[in-house]
Amino acid sequence: MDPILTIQNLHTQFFLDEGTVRAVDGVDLQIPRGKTLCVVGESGCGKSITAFSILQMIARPGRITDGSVVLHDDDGDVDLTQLPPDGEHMRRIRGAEVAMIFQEPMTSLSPVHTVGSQIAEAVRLHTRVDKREARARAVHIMERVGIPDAERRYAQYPHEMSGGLRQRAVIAMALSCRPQLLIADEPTTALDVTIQAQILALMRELQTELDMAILLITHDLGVVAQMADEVAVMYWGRIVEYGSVERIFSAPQHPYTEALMRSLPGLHIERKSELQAIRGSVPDPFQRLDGCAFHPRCDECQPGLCDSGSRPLLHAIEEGHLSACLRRGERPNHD
Amino acid sequence: MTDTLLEVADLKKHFPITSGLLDKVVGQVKAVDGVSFSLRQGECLALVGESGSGKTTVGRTLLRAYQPTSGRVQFNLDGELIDVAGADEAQLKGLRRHMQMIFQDPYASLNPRMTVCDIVGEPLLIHGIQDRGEREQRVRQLMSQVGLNPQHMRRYPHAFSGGQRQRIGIARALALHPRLIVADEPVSALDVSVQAQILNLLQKLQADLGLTYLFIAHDLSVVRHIADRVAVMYVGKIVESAPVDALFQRPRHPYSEALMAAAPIADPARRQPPLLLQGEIADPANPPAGCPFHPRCRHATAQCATEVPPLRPINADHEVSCHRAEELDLAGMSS
Repeated sequence: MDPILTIQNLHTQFFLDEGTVRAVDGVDLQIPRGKTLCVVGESGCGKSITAFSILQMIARPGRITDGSVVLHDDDGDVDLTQLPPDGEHMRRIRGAEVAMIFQEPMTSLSPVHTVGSQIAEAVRLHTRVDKREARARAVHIMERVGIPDAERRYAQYPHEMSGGLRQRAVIAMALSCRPQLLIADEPTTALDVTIQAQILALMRELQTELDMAILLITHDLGVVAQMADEVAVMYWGRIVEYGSVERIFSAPQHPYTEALMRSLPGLHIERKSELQAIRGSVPDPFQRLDGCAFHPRCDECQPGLCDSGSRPLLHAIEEGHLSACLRRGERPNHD
Repeated sequence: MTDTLLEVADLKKHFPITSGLLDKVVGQVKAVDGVSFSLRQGECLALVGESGSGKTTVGRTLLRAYQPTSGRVQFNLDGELIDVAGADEAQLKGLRRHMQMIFQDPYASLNPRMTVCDIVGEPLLIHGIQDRGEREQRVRQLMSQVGLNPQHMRRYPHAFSGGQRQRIGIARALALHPRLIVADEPVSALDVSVQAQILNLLQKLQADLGLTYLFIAHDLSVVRHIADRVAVMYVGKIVESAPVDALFQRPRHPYSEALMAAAPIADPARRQPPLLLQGEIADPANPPAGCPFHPRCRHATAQCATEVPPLRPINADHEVSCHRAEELDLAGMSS
């Protein structure tokens, strides 16, 4: 695989009065160039903190305590964790090479400036063009992301737009500098399914056009199935399974992944029948658990194996397919 | 009809748009604009549609959280027909025992300064159970019924997870033995594994207590799983209503088809067909002439731009408001 970004042994912790939260607890991940990697998992499993850690957007009391995030740039490799978070180099990378969009478009938009001027500003921050040229480019990008009547909309404030249009504007801003990697944190969760379908289709189109990698963070397995090339399943601060979208859905190799899929209502299950919920909930973040973090909720938990020792590591089940379940992949596969 | 619990006829709820210092009324948002349906004893009717379609306003107007602008709502209490829309405060208090609501956001719908015991017991207090011991007895019983540990009754909402909070909201709704529950997106804020737990609970309670549900939701796979019938809303009106199987096998309204096509299917082998639905939902303050859906409809003809299609029966228990319902062969979600 030719990765655009390699994350190794990443740890991000939050030091609170109540204790330490190990939000990201040893994540290893490679984001392939030009492809879409989806990170999926329940709330509180560390998906978003992983994304924020990549761009060093972790505020106190949080801190990256270990690991590396290497961007494989045209000019060579840069370990982002070694750059000062507010330094010039890091700021140049944010936006120009790695851009990020969020669930709530107002995270990225200022309410007191027009949408168009904010996009033009993003253009001017990272390229040397004059104001008129920046404006023309902004209008062009707005048209490209499907904002109707872009010339008029340029002068509108965010509150004059619908949620779907705002998210398009944010995408326009994020893509204005043709980044090599777009990090999208639940970009469609707040939108209606009809608008979600439009935004996802737009992201796919732009990906092909710009040959851009996407790290898509979502809790929605439907979105994963529709968008991903590769999938990483996270639980309690770690990746517990990694593989191609086809294999993750057709032959999941971690009981957590299987349980997530089984719990969905859908065509595979009789209407009105009892859904197969995962018992309990994600453990308290201050808790310490021995062994596999999923063992208290796992139907396959083997006492003595799964509930003791350190957290199990990812190991290969088949080519390109990794699982962190101790009960899978010990023996060679006879397929 | 004796098996009808609630009969809604031509319900309207318009909100005035005011402007200027004197709050002069300059227009009306027709959030609900002539909605008729009936709820049968013990069934689950789902109300679906995009944000702005009016589905939440229907639920709230039925329970008289909003005063209806016009229309009739009749509640069948063991054969005695009670006029909900015209009820005065005293009558409403009596009625509300029988009609309760579950909200989407379990973080916003519970008072953070009240213990679970007080939250669940509040309806009992309001409805005249003064004796503290008796109230606590009932709270304990309700907590077990929804799968919470009664020993936790002195705790505050922040000590519970999202799924547990939703259970608290359900226990509060059940406190007075209601007949009808209006559930407004009760699982959309929850993770899939917890969503399955809550859907199972809602189904079990329905069976055990003979409850009738008006289930307001946007997730069609959830709706398909739990509902008996579905009413699809668009800009304040019902555009199609049918039993679940009929609707999902062969929708008759292009808007229903478009909603289904937009829902992301959790199967990478079934990636989405080309987009069916462009643009966004019409402004309920200024809906288009003719069929309100015609500007987004790929099947629209000249007739659709001028003539409002009435909601009319097309099959047993299946109503649709589309001029072309008979001739169109629309795709569902079941195949």
